[in-house]
Amino acid sequence: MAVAMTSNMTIRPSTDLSVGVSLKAQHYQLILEQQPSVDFFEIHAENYMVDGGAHHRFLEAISNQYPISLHGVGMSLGSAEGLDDAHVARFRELVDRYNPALVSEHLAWSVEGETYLNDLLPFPLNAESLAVVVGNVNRVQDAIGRKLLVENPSSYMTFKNSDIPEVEFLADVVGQTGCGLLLDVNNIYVSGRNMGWSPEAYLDAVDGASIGEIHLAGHLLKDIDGTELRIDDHGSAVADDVWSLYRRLINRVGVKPTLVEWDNNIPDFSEFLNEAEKARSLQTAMTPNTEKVMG
Amino acid sequence: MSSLAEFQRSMKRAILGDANAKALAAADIVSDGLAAEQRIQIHENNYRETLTDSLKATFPISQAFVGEAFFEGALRKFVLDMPPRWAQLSKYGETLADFFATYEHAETIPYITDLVRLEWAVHNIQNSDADNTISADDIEDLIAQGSLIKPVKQIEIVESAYPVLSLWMVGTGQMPPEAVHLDQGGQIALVIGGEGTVQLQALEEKQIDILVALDAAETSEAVNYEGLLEDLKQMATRGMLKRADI
Repeated sequence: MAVAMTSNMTIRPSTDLSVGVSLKAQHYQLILEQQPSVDFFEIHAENYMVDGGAHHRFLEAISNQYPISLHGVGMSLGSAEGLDDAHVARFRELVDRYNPALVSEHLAWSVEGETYLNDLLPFPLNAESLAVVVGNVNRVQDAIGRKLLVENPSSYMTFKNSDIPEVEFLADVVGQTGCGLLLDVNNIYVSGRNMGWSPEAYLDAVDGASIGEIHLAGHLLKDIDGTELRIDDHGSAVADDVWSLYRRLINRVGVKPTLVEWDNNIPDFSEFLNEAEKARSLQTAMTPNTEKVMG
Repeated sequence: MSSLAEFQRSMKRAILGDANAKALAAADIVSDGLAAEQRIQIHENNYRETLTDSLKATFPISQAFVGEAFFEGALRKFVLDMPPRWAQLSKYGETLADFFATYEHAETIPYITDLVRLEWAVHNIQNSDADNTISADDIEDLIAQGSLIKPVKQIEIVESAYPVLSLWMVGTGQMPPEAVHLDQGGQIALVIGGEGTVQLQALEEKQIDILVALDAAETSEAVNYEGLLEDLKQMATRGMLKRADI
């Protein structure tokens, strides 16, 4: 069942979610004391799948002041074996507890045979995997009673038995489940450069109406035996090329809730704010005749 | 098995170090600039490095004792031998003490097993929910009312043949290394949480027996509270007890 079609979905009242940043433990106290000017914070769901402790105490306090985006990293939507009941239940508990403004997961797999591989692993994109992902997305949406946003992955490999381009695969998932897209512009850039396809063409092919959130992040450039490879490490500021792609995207589809991700080499919060302000300034400067779309 | 399931099984085994499985997974991947095996290696590295970093963050005291290079070497083997079962890294590390118990390079540091166990207990209590406690002043009234008294859930006990509490204090800089001797005898550590903090305290054998009896009791008549009055008051003062019949 496609949850987007049901009538009993719980939707948080619409608020201005123009620009958000990752919520990191290093910044909890500062955020509560200084109440910085960002529109929302995004958390990794799995970091809060504990019974109690400081993470929940701080998140309770911060969620009283800011909208929260709940971003899963371990659901394993691409697992052929289906989803872990217990994990789905824990995810739903967080949705119920914090009533996040946005809920998202990745087009990836990480679980096989009771082993969790702690990575966002790629898989061939074809009719078989499409059916798997559609089933798993429907299952999550049924469990949480609301729309899930599915994030495009960063890729370091292509498969011989992939026969559906990624952007079409995601559009099919949206069409068959009623889910939305979390469009990660950095991932598009990283994958495009690593695989030799055009990030601009990918961006231009995405249906803007399906985008519920945008991600921006930094990446790492590595040289492996003379081959340049970009690694999606979320450990630095957003690259200029990615800002250019972001500008191109919002000029076409309008402003969407935009998150600046930063998960490694965590800097002072002022760096987060700098990146958030760059995103906000691009939103403000966007072509005037495009419609502003809020979450 | 579907082709997707077969690929995922091969990829999992490749990431966990199986060379034959890596060749199977590589057969599905395009080699273009980089060989398919090199592309799989990116995910092998991701797996090892992210889990090793996560475990180092969970066990900083244990790492300080044995040194970063030794600890990292052990963790690199641990993450391949005992991968996570769930997508909750807060639960990953529970079996690290068992791993060290049989890790050949840890033979000369046998205390590391209990130090890891103690650090895991601290980690668990940091992330646990907490019961409301009772005070020493409540005890006599509760006994008179026939109330059931139980240990709170925010405690864990680590028994060791080594001075594990003293070792912890060395690891946290509260005691100089030369003040601790491994042959000084064992210690029992109580890890107790509450009000946003986690404390480590020494515990006596007798108190463990009392906690076990309290935990097993299903009615207030099952334990001789009157005979344990002073012990119960002392344990309540330390935040170890709750009223369980409300």
